[in-house]
Amino acid sequence: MTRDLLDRAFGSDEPPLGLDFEAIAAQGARSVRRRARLALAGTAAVVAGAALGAVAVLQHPQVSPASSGQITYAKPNDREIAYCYHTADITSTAPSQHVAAGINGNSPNGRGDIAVRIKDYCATAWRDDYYEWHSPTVPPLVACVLTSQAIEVQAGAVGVFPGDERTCAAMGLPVADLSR
Amino acid sequence: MADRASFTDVARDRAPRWRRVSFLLCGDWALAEDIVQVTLLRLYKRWHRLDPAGIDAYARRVMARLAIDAARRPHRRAEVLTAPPERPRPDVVPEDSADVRAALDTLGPRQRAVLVLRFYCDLSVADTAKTLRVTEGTVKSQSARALATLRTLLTEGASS
Repeated sequence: MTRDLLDRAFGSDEPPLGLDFEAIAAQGARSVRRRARLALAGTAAVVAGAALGAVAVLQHPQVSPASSGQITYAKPNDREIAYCYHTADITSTAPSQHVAAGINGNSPNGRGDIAVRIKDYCATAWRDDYYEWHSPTVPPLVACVLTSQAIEVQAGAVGVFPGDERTCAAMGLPVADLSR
Repeated sequence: MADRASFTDVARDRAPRWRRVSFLLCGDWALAEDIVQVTLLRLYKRWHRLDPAGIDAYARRVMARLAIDAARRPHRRAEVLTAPPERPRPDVVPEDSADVRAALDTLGPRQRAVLVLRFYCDLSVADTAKTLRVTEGTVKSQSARALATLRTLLTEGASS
């Protein structure tokens, strides 16, 4: 009886499944590869010690008032994919350093304008620890337009980083103008 | 150990059923799909360590946890789980399902999860307790309360 009752809850408005399984597998595979690379990097880090630490600091530019990058603005060319970044670093290959969003646009082909909502998505990813970034709070986030300098991403798409507009400038990226 | 090459086939095969379970857990088709997507990503990362026979159990555990978390943080839901614009959300809920959905919505998230796992997924009391990491006594009491609530609401609804 209870099973019949629960079956009734589905009604007749069940939408078609909009999941892109290949994209999910690809994203998962990339995450796994990065994790493996991190394990290697971790071993190297133990050997390299302080030297690698210094490199890491250089590769994770911190926004500071002294940042000399000029703040510019641009619209993204590609709105159907966007990325949440763990740190303000577009060249890091650390696991889950950046994670693509937009594989479930709920459109028939699984795509849609993700750029307009990517900041909200990344904020929730931080808050709910989707990517095991282990942050007690959601940091201030800024959307930048990625260029070809950013590795393993679609140039022209939006990347959301912890920081503010100066963070984009410090990485040589324009701040994303997300209006349509 | 599950063969990673089989992931997509298994995902495609199980996702519709998992989304239905998620829907019963959360009451929202868009949220249910998001929950399944996150579940699949987590599943992929653990794929090589999972016994193929334990895939459903793992997925149910993740989905239940995500649904309970989402229900406890409605302000978070509003940020990430808005339906993308390409597919309009149906405005009209079929009448025959509306009363059941409304009744389910009155249950607490854990009570609802107990009900779904016990009576839709056909899990035993022990397996439900293991999935939700609660005691068997909690499963029994939550399940009894949830059934009583549904019975009352749906009987009242039918007689009015």
